[in-house]
Amino acid sequence: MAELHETELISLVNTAKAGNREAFHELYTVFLQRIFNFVLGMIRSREEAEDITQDAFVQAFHKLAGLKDPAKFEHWLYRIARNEIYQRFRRKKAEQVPLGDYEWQELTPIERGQPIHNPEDEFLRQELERVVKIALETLPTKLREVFILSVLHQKSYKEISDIVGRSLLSVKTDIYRARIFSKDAIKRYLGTG
Amino acid sequence: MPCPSQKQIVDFLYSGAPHRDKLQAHLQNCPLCQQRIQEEKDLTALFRNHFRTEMPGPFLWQRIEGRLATAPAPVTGFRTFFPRPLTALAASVILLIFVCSAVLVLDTGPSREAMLAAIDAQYGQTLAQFDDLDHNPFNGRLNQLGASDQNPFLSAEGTEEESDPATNPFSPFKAMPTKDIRR
Repeated sequence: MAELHETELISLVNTAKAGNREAFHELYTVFLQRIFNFVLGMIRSREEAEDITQDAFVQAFHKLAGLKDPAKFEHWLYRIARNEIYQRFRRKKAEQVPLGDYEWQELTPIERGQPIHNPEDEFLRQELERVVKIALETLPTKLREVFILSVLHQKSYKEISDIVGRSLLSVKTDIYRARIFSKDAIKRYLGTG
Repeated sequence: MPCPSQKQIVDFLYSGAPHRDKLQAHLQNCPLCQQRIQEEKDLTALFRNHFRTEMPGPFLWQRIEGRLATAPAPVTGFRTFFPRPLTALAASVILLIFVCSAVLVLDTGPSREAMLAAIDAQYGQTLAQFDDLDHNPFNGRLNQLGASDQNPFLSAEGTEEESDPATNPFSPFKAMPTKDIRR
């Protein structure tokens, strides 16, 4: 995942603000994976996650002129993606839909371009991936988003509070609750609880 | 220092917990707390290592670029005039309050005193009209009914008779007790 220095980021955002698509493409390249995986963690369907990511970037391009602080582009982009996710939830009430398997679950490691390990290790790895995925899916949406941002995207509590638009105290409490939920789910699925 | 709660441990690990130095001193010397810290670290590591990060299909940028080429969808209807409905609503309420206040403060009609004086004058005029007996339609009628035999409430002189309460059926004093209550 490419990282940008803050001055580079500000320069790119300002150039993209002027309508430069190449600059915007660079921003897209840097932030695509983070945004896509955030959406995928929330929405569970790969196709929908692609659509939402696409919508989020298109929105970002059209609304870029309204971004006051270019240094906060990433948080702003997360917020746009989050809004798109919640709009989708409202439209389809996807939260209550039973979860389907990700498409990648049906792919073999070779198809996914991953090296093949010892079959036992491979089985264990797959099992842990499945458990992690289920544990994440069992979290309520409100807890899931802060958990993904905190644990998987390694955002600070302050950054998360900025992205989700809730108080720091609320974010702290939700992260803690999400951790309790996740621990319980993992213990349940691993049969250690 | 007593053992911190699990939430304090999570805050200590992933956020700026208050009393961090004291907490750190305790955590270094408490095997139970170290075990709890390790539990939280393991949970984080499990998710970070086993949540598979994905990449979208290779043509996503082309799809996005295709949409960037077209202008954003034109805003129509209500939002043409009020792109921010909540702001518009708030502004309307403030404007309404301002207008109502202005009407109350800058009331330019006649003052209360002037209106009372006008009512008094009108009332006085009406009374004066009725004081003039020539205009009083009941005046002649009263004279016609002057005979005391026709009017049980008038004495022969045309004044109200001082009737005996005992014989006057309309006297309010009829039922009064006659007992001396001065004691």
